[in-house]
Amino acid sequence: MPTTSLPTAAVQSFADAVRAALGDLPSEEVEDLTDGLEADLTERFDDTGTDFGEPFVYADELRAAAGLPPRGKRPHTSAAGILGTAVTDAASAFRGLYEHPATKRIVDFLVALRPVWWLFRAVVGYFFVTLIFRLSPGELNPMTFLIAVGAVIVSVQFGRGKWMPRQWMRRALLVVNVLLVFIVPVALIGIASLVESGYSNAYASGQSDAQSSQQGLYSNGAQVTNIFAYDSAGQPLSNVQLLDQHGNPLYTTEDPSQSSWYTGNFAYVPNKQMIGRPGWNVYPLLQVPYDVNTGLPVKGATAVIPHHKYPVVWPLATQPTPTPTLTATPTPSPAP
Amino acid sequence: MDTTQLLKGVLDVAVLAAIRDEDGYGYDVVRRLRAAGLEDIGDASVYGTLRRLYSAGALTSYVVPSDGGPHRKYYGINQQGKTMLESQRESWGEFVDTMNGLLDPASRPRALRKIGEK
Repeated sequence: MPTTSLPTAAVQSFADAVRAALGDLPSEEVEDLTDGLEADLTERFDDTGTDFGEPFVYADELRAAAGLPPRGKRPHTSAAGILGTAVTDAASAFRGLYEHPATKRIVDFLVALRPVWWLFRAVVGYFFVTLIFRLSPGELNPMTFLIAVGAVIVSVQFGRGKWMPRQWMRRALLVVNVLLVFIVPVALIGIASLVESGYSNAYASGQSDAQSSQQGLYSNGAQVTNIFAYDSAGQPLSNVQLLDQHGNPLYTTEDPSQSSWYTGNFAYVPNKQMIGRPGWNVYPLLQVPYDVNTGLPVKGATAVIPHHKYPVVWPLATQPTPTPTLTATPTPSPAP
Repeated sequence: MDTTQLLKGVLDVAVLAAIRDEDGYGYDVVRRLRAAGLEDIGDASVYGTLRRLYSAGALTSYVVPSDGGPHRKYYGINQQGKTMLESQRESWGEFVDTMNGLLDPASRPRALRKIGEK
């Protein structure tokens, strides 16, 4: 590699002259434009000799090819010339700002954020498509999952310039992007509320999956806390196990895992005779006095059958066989 | 015909094509283009074009130090550059077809009428 002093000096002086000819540009720009110039010139020297041509011509060619405006005119003495120079200076100052390293760093950073934008666009697209098909965007099912995956793939491919062979498609995407930028605040609020409702829906459904009686038992909008059964003769029954139409225990309590259920002046307790699961579906629920100070049922207190609204009710009209009356008295009394 | 004027219009696509398969530094790219037959291409035009394509986000760039000599600035094509190349390649193909049709009436069904021809 010929790195003798002659070519090195020739290369260096030519490179310096080129840089000087670019002197009206920001120094960062000059550096970017001429970075590696010495290496290129040295190699060219090996090929063709020292005839690099005129540094000014070289510099003009360089800046023209780089898409930079031609070198500013020399200072003029006429008024028009001074005005022209001022305009050129202003334009160059604006360009200097635009091409300032800080501006470039910001632009580079924003360019690096492009994938985030693609994802956001996919999310907006997802909500758009799900709403068009009248699906619930917050709900995860095979259809919404497919739409979500599809939206991400399409948005990323568009962002990478794929799948858009025609120029008008890119222009259309540009219009869509600009519109998106304007609806970003609206979209964010919308997405936030939808996500929130989706979350609460999911939370509620998860809870109800875990505990089928989470919400308790209601009759015509009023909560049912206890159930009193009477036989066909109108006599009250105790220890009645109730199941729903699915064969699941019918609970009035919102949380059958609790050992007691405070409802006001007293607490319900599950029937202890139930084997294998809490006796919360054995009615009437027994009640125990509740100690307000300890927050627990009174120690040693016996669970009793609560007060029946009616000690007996009218017997049914058709009574197949006489039913033996129950031993339990209808009024509050100690339970077995 | 002054081919330098023609070259100006196709510098981008020429430079992109020159580094499509392998990264290259400035003079390296010049040499590739000349080897391909573009003898009249100017060094500075190529360097400026590389710089502009890099600014436009079509190229990546990195500096490789050389032993004892000045460092070299390498350029490589990225996805955006490939997309740009592909799009310009299509435009070029259409342009060439159009020009061929204009210059070679035999290859064109509707031949241009000569002046005075009825």
